[in-house]
Amino acid sequence: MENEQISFEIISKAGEAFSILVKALEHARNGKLELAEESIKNSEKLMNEAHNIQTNLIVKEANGVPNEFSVLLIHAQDTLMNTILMSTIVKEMILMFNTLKKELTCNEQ
Amino acid sequence: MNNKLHILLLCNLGASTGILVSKMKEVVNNSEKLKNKDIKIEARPAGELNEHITNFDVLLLGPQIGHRFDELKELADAHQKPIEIINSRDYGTMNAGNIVKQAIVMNSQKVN
Repeated sequence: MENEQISFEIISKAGEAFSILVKALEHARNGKLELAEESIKNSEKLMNEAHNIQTNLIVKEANGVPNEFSVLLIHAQDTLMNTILMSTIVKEMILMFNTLKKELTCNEQ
Repeated sequence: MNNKLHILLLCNLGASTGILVSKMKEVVNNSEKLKNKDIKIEARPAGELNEHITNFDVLLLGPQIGHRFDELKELADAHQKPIEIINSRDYGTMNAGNIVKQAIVMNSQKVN
């Protein structure tokens, strides 16, 4: 696969995963926790696919085959990094949201 | 298809989508059927949609900003412009031909 195509694969998969994570937060905010969970799973699948492409690049380089660098590849890395960070935070936020909701209902009773 | 087709691609910064634009233009220039039609393809950040919407016939969103579809669709509906998210497989593999096709189909289904 060409460098440009590899970058596009990463941007597309990681970018879509990011987009789904934003939707997951929206579902959680609207109390649709099952949909939120499902979105997280879907985004993780895409994020892992993007991550695997990145791993292949690293493995290739470790084997002594140099990678061709471009701003597009940096943009792809940047997109993936954002998504990984977003995933960690969104999962934590949904947990926090659930805990708070439980505490609130306990206090009301 | 109509003789005029102006396509606007939207993403976060218009960066990666810009490369897609050149690939799509290549498809158009290499097609006997399309190269003599009035086809314009541009990429812009989604935040600038309001400034450009009147100059285009169909709007396509990068899959990475799919979560903004509802918000952008409101604006698109107000201007009666069709809007869709680019198929993420086509985006990832830079299948410019399929994306041009998607735009042509959207334009032909438009209610005038």
